[in-house]
Amino acid sequence: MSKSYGNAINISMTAEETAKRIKKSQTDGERTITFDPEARPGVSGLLSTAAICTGRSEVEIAEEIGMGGSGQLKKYVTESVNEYFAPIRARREELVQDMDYVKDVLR
Amino acid sequence: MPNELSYEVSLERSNQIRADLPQHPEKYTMLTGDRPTGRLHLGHYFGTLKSRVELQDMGVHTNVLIADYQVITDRDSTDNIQDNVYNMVIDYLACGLDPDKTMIYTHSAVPAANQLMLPFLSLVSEALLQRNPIVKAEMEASGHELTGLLLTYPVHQACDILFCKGTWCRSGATSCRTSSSPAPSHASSTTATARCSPRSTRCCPTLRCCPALTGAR
Repeated sequence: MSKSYGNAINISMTAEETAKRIKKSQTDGERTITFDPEARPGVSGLLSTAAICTGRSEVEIAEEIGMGGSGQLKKYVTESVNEYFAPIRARREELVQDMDYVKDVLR
Repeated sequence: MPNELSYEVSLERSNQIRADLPQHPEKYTMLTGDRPTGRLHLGHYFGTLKSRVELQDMGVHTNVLIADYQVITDRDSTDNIQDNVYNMVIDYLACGLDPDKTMIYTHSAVPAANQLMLPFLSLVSEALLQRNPIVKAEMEASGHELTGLLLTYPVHQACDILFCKGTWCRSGATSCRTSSSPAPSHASSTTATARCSPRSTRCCPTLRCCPALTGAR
């Protein structure tokens, strides 16, 4: 994940853009969700994202979703990311309205 | 006896600093930053932004550099730099960096920081610059021939760090010397630059390279 490539969730994205980006992320054909970074990098990456935003462990989240499949996993990741970043994004919105202040910080 | 720039030694020192930080935050000066090549993402937030805010709130003297001049080392276009810089500042502030506690600045706004490049270039040998593994990797990734700017990039980073009298800098394992790869990096170029200077004992602090502080590997 790098800002130089275009496959990441940016802090500046809206909740909708975040949902879209997560929906497009690659998973695999296996229905049961398990945490296995070597064999299932796509699914495991999503689990890690949800884990870091919620403070829960990847394994715990995987067990909870289980047979729910990648659709349910992506829904959970989207909610976790959007909930965590909601206050940061709200402050962002306020700052965008005050570009004079933003430019002042660099002076 | 492990080299003092080795990953193992740096890791141990890093753990000592981590323990000392909450006790004596005022002893430390930190410089870190980002190149404004795009938007900051979740990896940046959990990898570094969050801990920058924690260090700032702890009372560490924190400096955050938006390295706009360093974008041109390996990019063809400078079209979005201004927009990227402003969005970076917005992200920093939204995440909790406070401009009253943390110095946030761009290369282009502080000519004196870049001016250091001239005396510093006189302190490093061409051989040291040519040996840098990160410069080689960046050159290959860019798909371009090695420019003078990319070759001297580690010296520019030395200017960044020593300009704000940084005492420790975040780094990955690749930036330290390892026993299997005794190659120099920007951190060792910086220490070499600082030590080579006959005036360094007066004007340059001792730089410490600390991989564990940010969990970087």
